[in-house]
Amino acid sequence: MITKSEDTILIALSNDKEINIFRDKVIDKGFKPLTTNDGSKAMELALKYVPSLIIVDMSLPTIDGERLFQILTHNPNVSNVPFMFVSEVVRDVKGFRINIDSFIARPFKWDEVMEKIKESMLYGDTVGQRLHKDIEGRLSQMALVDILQVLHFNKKEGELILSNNDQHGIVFMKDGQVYNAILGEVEKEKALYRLFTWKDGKFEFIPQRVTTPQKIELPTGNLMMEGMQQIDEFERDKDKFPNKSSILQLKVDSTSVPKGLKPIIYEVLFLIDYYPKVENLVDHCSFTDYDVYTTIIDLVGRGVVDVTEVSEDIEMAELHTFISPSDAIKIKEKVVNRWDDMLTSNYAKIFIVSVNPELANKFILSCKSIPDFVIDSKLISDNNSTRNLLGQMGVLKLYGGLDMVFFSLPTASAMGPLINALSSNLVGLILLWDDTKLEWGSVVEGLAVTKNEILHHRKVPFLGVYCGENELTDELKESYIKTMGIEDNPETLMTFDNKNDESVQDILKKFFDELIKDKNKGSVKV
Amino acid sequence: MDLNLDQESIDKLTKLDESKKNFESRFYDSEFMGEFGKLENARSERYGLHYSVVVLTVESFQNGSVTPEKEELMKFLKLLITTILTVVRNCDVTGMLENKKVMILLPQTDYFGSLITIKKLTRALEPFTTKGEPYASIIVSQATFPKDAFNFNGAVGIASNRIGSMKDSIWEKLDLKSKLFWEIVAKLTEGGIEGSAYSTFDLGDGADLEYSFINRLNEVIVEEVARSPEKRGVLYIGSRKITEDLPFKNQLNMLGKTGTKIFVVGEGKETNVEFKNATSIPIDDPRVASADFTLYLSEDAAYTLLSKEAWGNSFLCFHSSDPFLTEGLITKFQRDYHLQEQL
Repeated sequence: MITKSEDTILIALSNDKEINIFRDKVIDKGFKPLTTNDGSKAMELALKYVPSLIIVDMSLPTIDGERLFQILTHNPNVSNVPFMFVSEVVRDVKGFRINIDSFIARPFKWDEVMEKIKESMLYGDTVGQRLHKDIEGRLSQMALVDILQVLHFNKKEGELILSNNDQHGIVFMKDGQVYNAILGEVEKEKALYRLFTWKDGKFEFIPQRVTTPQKIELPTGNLMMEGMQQIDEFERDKDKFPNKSSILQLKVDSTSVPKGLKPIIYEVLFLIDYYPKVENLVDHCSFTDYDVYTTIIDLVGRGVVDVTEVSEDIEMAELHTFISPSDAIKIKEKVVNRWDDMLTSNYAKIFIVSVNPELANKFILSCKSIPDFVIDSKLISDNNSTRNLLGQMGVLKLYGGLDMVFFSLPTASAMGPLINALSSNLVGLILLWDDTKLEWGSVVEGLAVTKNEILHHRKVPFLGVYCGENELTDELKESYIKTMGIEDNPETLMTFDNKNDESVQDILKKFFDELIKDKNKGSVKV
Repeated sequence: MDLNLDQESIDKLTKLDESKKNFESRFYDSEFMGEFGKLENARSERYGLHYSVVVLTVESFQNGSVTPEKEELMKFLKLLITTILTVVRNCDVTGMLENKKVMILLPQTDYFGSLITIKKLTRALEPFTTKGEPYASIIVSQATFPKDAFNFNGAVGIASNRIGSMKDSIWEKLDLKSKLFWEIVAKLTEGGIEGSAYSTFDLGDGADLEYSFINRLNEVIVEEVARSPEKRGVLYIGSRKITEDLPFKNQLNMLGKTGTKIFVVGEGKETNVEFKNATSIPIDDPRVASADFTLYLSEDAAYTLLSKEAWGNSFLCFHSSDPFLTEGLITKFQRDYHLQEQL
């Protein structure tokens, strides 16, 4: 979670000696330094601590200063932080904000440098003060609902930024309507209603153009009424709800649930398989917290779901991440480099091509062991699609707000135009195969044709994954390598063990390593 | 018949006065266009804006018994340029790129904006391309910054190179532009058209894919729209009849606001079925009920699917990722049924 840091300066320079000098001078002036010599680490620190100033080298490894600037200025949490660019010569920086950002050239004239730092810091010691703020204050003095009413009646456009301890939320307003709300990984009404429960914390409204898509469609008046009603009812019923760390278990076969019930029931029943812990289920369900809790107690009351209390130790064991924040940032950077207009895009696609749909289902279902992997209920549970899987099977949510969409393609012949049309934002390909004896040669040849078809349009890294029940023999391996034409690159073949949760994690880690190492810019213009 | 002008004639077209702002006061020479383009590129880069380049190439003359005289060619080109200037906006900058090529720079215009200009140009230039003695073959192509190129010269290069792709497109090769929408559907679903951007496949009884694959495919296209709601696009889904239980209705209802305009087309005089994020278009023509079609054109992708019942419960499908074909079919469909132009 983001922690806003006043008087903090992020120093990201390629030269360690320069970092030390800057750090000492900044400390002398009473500021707190954060230092790094790597662009991806700098991004991680900036997003985590939201400094008051970022001093950045134009030539940083992994992500250079200009790219870092462009990425961070598109992130609503840090878009207002001033940048001080460091280089040998003054260079043109795309998007440079006059009177906000500055440039210092080597060799440094320290008096001048410190003056510029002071000037930047003088604009304000908190994020957002650089831009004119219409309203600011504390939620203990003015509740969020009252603030929204004022903004609504005055037809304001801008961002209402809220912070409470280590939590930060943003409410986007346009023409006085609430367009969207974000709180951590949660958005829309769910995030807004959570923000309504804050009793204290800072708020500031920054009038500016809002470009985020409208995700809340309820008129603001109704939205506030509905939100307050849900909070009142939550308070009234909270003793009846299971606690956050409880584990849920289905007592009936989910396919036997009758049709025509409320959509939330199907979503909760589906998610219980993947997020048995109440807290995780509530977070991942698209409905508001109160609706999810009431649905859970309703299902428990009807004997469809069982609740079990769990000790703290088990909770702690779950606190691990699959992809580290710095790797997630490197991946995002690769994706941005591959797709030129991805600064405004928040997803990348990985095609899954399987010799039979059961393998794809098995592979994706095993991903439920990965934190932040969300399985798409429709395709997995849709019996009609088992012959030729087409569409999104799951999403891995990476740190920094990038969704990795796992997208299944049919292996039927003549699908080239469809593959081409669906390959927007494609970054990789995973091929799943097994040791099915029946027509093995022609099946894997078909896989090779699909692989070549995809790589013809987009040069992306790919991984072959053997998913057979039997051990992979040398003979079969050689045959596969020859059919796929990967004699120069046999290490792109891995083995999937359905009984071992770590197997799928190793495969995806290998895939993301390949993506980070990949040097291609595979976007083909039509 | 080739059109060739010597350098002196080209100069006459573009340097009719000293100020470079010659010929109807708004037609510039290639040198000016190059310089202006670089400036526009710098401006767009700095402020994160789009701009597009449209290139008109006069390929050849299609009829005429004798080679046109130089004076005739000059007269023809002047008339052509005057017509172009009546179509473009005041902010657009038009000039000579090289022999046979006229360039229009469209400031702050994205891919779809440039397609609108191309449509207007194509309509205005129809008298030159279909009538007259001789009549000309004119190909109009475009490129957009930063989607297609990183700089002005790159954008001009991409726009020029696309002329080759357009010639390779079956839209040009099969002369589909001279046919009506349903004639094109009949032609393409006959089979026998293959290429990296085109294929045919069977659906239904006895085939690898079931008929429900079309429904799934439409759902997936709507999901694609949902993934990038800010991208501009247009999507026509022809579903024979507009009914309440169309499978992609759920996806449409969950969509929210997008930059893609979505239309659901079906046979009938009127319909009571409403979609949350799409417009229903009932068309009183039995041919609409005889085929499924999906026409999707966005900043990133193009996809055409045409499906006709072959026999029994089997269907012959044609699909393509050729943007020129998709755009052409959308235009034909809109024109043939007098629909509001959406590009």
